[in-house]
Amino acid sequence: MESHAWAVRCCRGDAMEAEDILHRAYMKVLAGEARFSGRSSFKTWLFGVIRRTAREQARQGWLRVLRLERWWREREPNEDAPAEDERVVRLRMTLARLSKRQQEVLHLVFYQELTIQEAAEVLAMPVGTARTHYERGKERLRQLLERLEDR
Amino acid sequence: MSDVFDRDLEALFQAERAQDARSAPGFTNVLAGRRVVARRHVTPLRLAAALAAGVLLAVLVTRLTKPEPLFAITPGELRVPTDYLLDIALSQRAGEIPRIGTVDWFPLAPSAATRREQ
Repeated sequence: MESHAWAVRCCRGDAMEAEDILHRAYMKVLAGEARFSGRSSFKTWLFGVIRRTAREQARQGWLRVLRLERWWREREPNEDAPAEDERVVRLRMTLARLSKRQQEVLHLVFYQELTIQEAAEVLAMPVGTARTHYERGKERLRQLLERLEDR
Repeated sequence: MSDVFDRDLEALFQAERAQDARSAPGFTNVLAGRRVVARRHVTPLRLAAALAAGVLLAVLVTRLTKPEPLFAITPGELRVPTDYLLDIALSQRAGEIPRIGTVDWFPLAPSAATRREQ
């Protein structure tokens, strides 16, 4: 479930694309294309593999645009999906207004309960940079949520 | 203040986790590449709509990719820069290229056959 949530975050909220990415990432691990060396926790390493797979897939994004698959999917609402919690809808709405890096760091820290150090490892960035994204993202999120409550 | 907001954020993300737990696909399903959301059935109406869209797209592509002629000028309209040298007073220029064997377009002297009749 946690891996899926992270894959969804890497695909900017596209749950079906996230499944494809997760499938590819698992296959990579099983085929030995991605090997765990033990330098970090398994979860951190797996999240890194998922992120790299999502980036590879994003480079081939134009192919999916040609297939019009996403358009077809989005034009019909999924009636089988469970009703969304109002608070979660607001959180996702406000998160979407942050930069991709800020979204990723906040997701890893608050949703996945990683430390900033571990989030930095997943995102392959220095800890200082991850901390900056964390602080700025949190501040922006606070402002946006407050503004939303004032309405 | 920051701690209070951190706790609020944690609660919000926990709510998101709880919601995701209800819809996230299982490990075996993901590994097998099976979709959690069932594909919609292909109804005859959808099939017809897809076919119509395909035909329309094909027609559009054919129309749009049809090569245009390089020069859209009829031969009778062709003029060369020195054409005016051939102009003489009261002369009439042919509007089209004459067909071989017919001479009635041009006011020449009567043909041999006409002369014989006369």
